[in-house]
Amino acid sequence: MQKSKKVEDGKLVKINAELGEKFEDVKVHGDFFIDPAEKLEDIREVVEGLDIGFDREELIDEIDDIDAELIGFSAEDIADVLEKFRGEEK
Amino acid sequence: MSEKWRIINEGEYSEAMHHALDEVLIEKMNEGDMRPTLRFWYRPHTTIPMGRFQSYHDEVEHDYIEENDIEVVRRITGGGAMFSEPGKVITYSIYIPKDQVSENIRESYRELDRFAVDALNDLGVDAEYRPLNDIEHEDGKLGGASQTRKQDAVLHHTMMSYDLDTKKMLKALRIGKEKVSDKAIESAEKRVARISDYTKNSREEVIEALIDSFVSEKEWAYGSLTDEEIEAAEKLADEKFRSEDWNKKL
Repeated sequence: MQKSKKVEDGKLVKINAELGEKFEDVKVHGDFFIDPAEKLEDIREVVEGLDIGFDREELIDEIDDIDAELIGFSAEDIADVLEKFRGEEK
Repeated sequence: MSEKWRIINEGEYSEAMHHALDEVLIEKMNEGDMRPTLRFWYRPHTTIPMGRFQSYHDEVEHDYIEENDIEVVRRITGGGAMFSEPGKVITYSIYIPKDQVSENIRESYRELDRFAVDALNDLGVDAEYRPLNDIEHEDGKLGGASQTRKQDAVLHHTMMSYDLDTKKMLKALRIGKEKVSDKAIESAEKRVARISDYTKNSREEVIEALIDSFVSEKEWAYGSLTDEEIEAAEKLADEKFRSEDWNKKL
């Protein structure tokens, strides 16, 4: 399953995941920028295995703790896309 | 190291080779082994450079790509997939020490493309910079830029449409074909503007105007890639930018 968000004045964030009780086989992709680039994998690892009923603020904190600059999107946008998987449209 | 700019406006290479050159040159710049450089790209084939963080399977129309033998290469920079045909786009790379560029990334995009926007305006093309990384005309997007940063150097490359075949582009790229919930965005992304729609100047003349604009108030000289740079890039092109491991990693 894929969900996405076009960030206002920013880029397109897409997440693919298989959904049970957790997010599995996660892929985070899009036309955004991350510096350093290798940190995309750190973001993916935060989402991989994440409980579907995750706490939004905890997730955002965890992504913000990654030492990387996200350009054209933010941790909030990742949370928004993941919330779409559980049927919460913004 | 002298601050005299090297301007390279020659050399036709495959898409993979261009991306390998970008990686080799930004590493050299980062090591302080190279003068700051502006390099224009020339390609003999139809190609798609895609963003570093994009999914190969999401961005290109596989059947069309295979039927038409289009070379798809993942960049080392973020941003979106672009479509390139020989003689129909203008692409350049800037390799510059980090201390000469605004620390604010958004601001640095504006800074590093300003010379191009100025040059286009002088040619009568109503182009303007649109954050984060686009050069736009009110009719649509003329081009886009992307950057990557090393410890001490920045790579900024920009690609603009001179007279791209937009119909072909939309056949090759999956822009707007995916289910983006916001329809307004779909149509916006499909709007592509072309430099040749607004000026009678040839592509070569536009490139000359870009160079004139870039070098004003700079020390500079035309230069070429060195044999060592080309050899290093050829090796990297084979190992990385022609490999499925890299190009299809997402």
